[in-house]
Amino acid sequence: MAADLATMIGIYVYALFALGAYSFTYKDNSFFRFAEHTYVALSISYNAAVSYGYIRFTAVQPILTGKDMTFIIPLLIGALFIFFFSKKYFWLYRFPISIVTGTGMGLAMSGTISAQFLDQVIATVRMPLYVVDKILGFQAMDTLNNWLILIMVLGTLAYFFFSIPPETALGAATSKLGLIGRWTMMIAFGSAFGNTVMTRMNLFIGVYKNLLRDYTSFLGLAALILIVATLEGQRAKKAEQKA
Amino acid sequence: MSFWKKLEAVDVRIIYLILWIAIGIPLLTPLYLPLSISPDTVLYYKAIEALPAGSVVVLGMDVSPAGYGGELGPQARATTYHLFTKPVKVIFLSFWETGAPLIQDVWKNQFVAGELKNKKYGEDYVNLHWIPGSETGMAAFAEDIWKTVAADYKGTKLADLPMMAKIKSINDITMLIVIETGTPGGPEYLRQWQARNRNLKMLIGSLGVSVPGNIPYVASGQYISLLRGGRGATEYQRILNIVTPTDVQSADAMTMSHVVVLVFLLVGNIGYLALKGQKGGKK
Repeated sequence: MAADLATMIGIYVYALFALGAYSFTYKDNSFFRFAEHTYVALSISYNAAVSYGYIRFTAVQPILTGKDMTFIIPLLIGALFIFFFSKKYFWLYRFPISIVTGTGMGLAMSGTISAQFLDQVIATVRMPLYVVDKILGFQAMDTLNNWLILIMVLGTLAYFFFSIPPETALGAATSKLGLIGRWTMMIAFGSAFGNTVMTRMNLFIGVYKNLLRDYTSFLGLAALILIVATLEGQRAKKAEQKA
Repeated sequence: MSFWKKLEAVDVRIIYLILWIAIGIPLLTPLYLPLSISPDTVLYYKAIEALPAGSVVVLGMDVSPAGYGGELGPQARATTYHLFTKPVKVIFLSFWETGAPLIQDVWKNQFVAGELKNKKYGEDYVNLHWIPGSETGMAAFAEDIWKTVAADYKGTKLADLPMMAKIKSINDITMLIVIETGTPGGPEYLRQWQARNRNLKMLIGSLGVSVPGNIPYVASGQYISLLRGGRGATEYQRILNIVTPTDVQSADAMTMSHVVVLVFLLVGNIGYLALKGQKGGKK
C-alpha cells in the first residue's frame, strides 16, 4: 500500500514537472518557473553531494587514517577556491584556477594533435579514390563517396584560404573552389540541425511515454497548468495595459 | 490575405499541438511502421560479436538523465545486454556524476537482468561508478587505474575484486564503448585513451545531435562504428531481438515525429516559394 502511494506520488511529481517545463511552449507561467528553478537547484545540490562523498572517501579518509598524507596538498589547493568570494584575497583563487586550466589545456593539446588532427589528415590522405572489394569487386558508391569527401575537404579548405588575391587567376580558381566549400558547410550545418531536431523529438517521446502511463495525472495536471497559464497571461496583459 | 500568407502567420502553438497529437497516436496504439537497419548499427553489432573470450570492455555511461531518458537509455540497455551474452569482462564507469547512478538502472532492464543471473559481480563485471576530473580523470585512469579509483560503487576495494587483478592501465583494455551525452565524451577518450593505446577499439552510442560530429572519427577508423540516436538504438534492439511493445511504440512515435517535421518543412518551403512568386520574385 505504502509502495503504491509512493509510486502514485512519484507519477504526479513527474507529471507536474514535465508538463510544467513543456508548458512554456504555450505561455510563460508559474509552473514553468517552478520546474526550471527546482531543476537548477537539484542539479547543483546533487553535484555538490556526490563530489563531497567522493572527496571524503578518496582523500579525507586516507589522511585521517594516516595512510596517505599527500592528499593534504590538493585539498588545500582546492580550498583556495573559496577566495573567489573575497575581494582582498581574490589573488589566492587564481592558484587553483591556473592549475586546473593549465593541466586541462596541456592534457587536451597533447592528445588533440595526434588523435584529432594528424589521424584525420592521415585518414583523408590514405582514402582510396577507386574502391575495390576483394570479394565484391568495384564499389561504385564507396568510390563516389570518397571523391565527394576529397572535393568537399578541398573546397572547405579553399573557402578559408585568403592568402592569394582574388584578382589573380589562381585566386579566382580558389574562390570558385571555396563556393563548393560554402555548400559543403551549409549541408553539414543542415544535417547538424536536423539531428538536433531528431534528438529533441526523442527526448519529448521519452517524457510523453511516461506521462501516458497515468491519464489522470497527465490530463488533470495539463488542464490545471493551462488554466493557470491562461489566467496569468490575462493578468499580465491587464497590468501592461494599465501601465 | 492569401492561404500562404495565413499559413506564414500561423500560431506556433498550433504546430506544437499537431506534434503532441501525431506523436501521441502511436504511443496509444502501436502502428508497426517499417524500419530499415543502417550499416553503422550492423557494424556496431559485429564489433561486439567479434570480441574474443576474456576481452576487457569498458562501458562508459557518460550520460545526463535527459539524454538517458530519450535516446541513450535504450542504447545502453541493448549494449549491456549484448555484452552480457558474451564471455567478456565488463567495467562500467562514468565520468559524468549524473551517469553513474544510471548504470544500476540499466541492470534492472528485463533482458539485462535475465543475462545478469549468469554473471558474477567482481569476476565478470564491476561498477567503478563516478570518476571525477573529466579529461584529467580520464588521463589519470589511463595511466594507472588502481591509483585513480579507490573502490567500486559499493565501496569494495579494487584488491577485493578478482577481475581487476590483471587490469592496471588502458593497455589492459580491449574495447571502449562510450554512451555519450556531450563533453567529456568520445573526443576526450580519443585524446587520453586511444592516444595511449593505439589498439583500443572504440564504439560510440551517440545522441542524434552529436552524430555529425562523430562521423569523421568513424570515417577515419578511430571509432569502429556508432549508434545514431534513438533510431540507432531501435535498430540495434531489433538485431538483438529484444524488442518490447513499448519499444515498438517509441519507434513508431519517432517515425511519426520525423514525418510531421518533414511535412512542415515541405509546406514551409512551398509557402516561401509561392509567396516569393506572388511578389514577382522579390524577397
